[in-house]
Amino acid sequence: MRLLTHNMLSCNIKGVTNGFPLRIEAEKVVEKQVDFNADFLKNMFPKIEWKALVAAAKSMGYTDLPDQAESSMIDSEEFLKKFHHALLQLHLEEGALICPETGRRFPVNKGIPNMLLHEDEV
Amino acid sequence: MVVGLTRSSKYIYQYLGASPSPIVAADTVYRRKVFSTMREAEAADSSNLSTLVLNEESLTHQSVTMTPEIEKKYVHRVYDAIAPHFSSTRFAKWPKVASFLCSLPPNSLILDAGCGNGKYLGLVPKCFFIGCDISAPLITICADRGHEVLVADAVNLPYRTGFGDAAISIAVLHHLSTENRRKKAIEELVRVVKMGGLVLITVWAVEQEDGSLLHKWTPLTEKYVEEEWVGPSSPRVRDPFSFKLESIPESDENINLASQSVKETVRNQQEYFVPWHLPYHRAEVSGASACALANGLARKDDKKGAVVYNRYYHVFSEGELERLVSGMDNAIIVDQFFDKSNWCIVLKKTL
Repeated sequence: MRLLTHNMLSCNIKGVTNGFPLRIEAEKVVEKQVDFNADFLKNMFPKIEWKALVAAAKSMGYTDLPDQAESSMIDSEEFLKKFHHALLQLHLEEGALICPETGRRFPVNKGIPNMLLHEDEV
Repeated sequence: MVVGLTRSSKYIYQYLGASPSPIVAADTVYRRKVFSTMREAEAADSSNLSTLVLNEESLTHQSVTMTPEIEKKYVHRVYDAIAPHFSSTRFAKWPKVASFLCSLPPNSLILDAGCGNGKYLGLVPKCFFIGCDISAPLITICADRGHEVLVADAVNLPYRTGFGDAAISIAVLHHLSTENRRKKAIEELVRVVKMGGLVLITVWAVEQEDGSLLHKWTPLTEKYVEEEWVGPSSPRVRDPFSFKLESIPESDENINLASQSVKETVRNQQEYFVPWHLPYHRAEVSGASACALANGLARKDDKKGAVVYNRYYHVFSEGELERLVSGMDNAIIVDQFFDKSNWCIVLKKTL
C-alpha cells in the first residue's frame, strides 16, 4: 500500500463520522522505485490531506516531509522529490490501518489492505 | 426437494433447469403458508422444478450494504474458488473501455471498483490506478502484477469523497442482487470522484448478441414478497407465475399451466445462474472446490472434466441503467451505448 492510497482510505463502519486518517502500524516497509512525474505530483497535491501524509510517512520511517505545505512549494524540485518519495515509493507490506474513532484494525498483508467490514459493522 | 425455509424469508427462487440442479441448504424455517404450497408444487414435478429457497432477512430492515446470501454463495465464493483460472481467461482489453481510459486527462487518478484480475489497471501509463475487489484471491493476482490494490466492497467504498479523477465499474453491477444495492454502488462510484469527474459503468445485457449463450444459462424466477426488489414505479411487472405458484392446488392440470407461463416469463427474465467450468486440474490446486462440491454449491461434469460453478447475474434491460441514475441529483449522463452484449453508461459528477 502506498501513501497515496492511504490518503484516500477512510473507515466506513456504520455510524463512524471521523474515520480518516487511519493510523498506520508498520511492521514491514519496503521502498520501491517509481518514475518521477512532476505533472502527476502537481495534480495529486490538491487532493492530499497534508498532515495525514506527514504522519503516515513518519510511521513508515520517513521524516523528511515539511510539516506544512502550500501550493507554491510544488514549483520546487526538491520538495517534489520528497513528495514523490513519500507518496509513491514507500510501501507498507505488512501491518495494519487503525480507525481513529473505533480502533478497528484493518490488516495489511503483502501490501494489500483488507477493508472489508464484518456484518455487524455494516 | 425443498430445503429448510426462514421465518421471514423473502425470496423463493424457482430454479428451472433441464438437468438436476444443486440444492442449497438454507437452514431456517419458512412461513407455514408458503411452505405448504411449495410441498404441493414439488410433489407434482420435481424433475423440472427444483426450489432453491434462500434465507434472507427482511430487506426493509437489512442494510443495503449487507451482502445477501445469494451473492455470498454465487458470486463471492465462486470467484474466490475460480480466481486463477478466471484471471487466465481475462486478458482481452475491451476497446470501449480502453478508449474511455485513454480519453481521460493525463496524470489522472483512476479508481477501478470491482477490478477483478486487474485487466485495466495501468492501461494508461501516465495515469495512476487504484483497484479494489471483494475477492481477495483476485486482488492477490493484481498485487503480484505490481498494481496498487485493496480488498473492499463496491457497495461501500472505504474512500474519501471526491478523491478520484475518474472511476470505472466494468462488469460488476450485474452481480448485485437488489436494485437498491445496484443504485448504492452507482452512488458510490459518483461519490468517490471529484466534481466533473467521469464514471464508466458496463453491465451484461438481457439482449445477448450470441443467443446460444442463453441456453447455457439457468433462469431464476423470483417471488416478490417485498417491493424491495423492484420499486413501485418500476416498469417491470410482478411475475405472474409467482402469484400462481402460491395459489396452486394439488391438481396436475394447474401445474402444467404454471409451466406454460414460466416459459412466457423467461422472456422477461433478468436473473440467471451462469455456469463456470473449472477444469479438474485447476480445481485440485485450490481446496475450495472440494468444499463447494460437498456443500452443493458446485457439481462435477465428468464429460467436460470440470467442476461446474454457478455465478449469479442480474442482466440489465435496455434503459435500466438510465433509470437507476435518473434519481441522482449529483450526476448527469454524458453517454450511453450498447456494445458487445453490454449496456454501458458514462456519468459526470455535477455536484
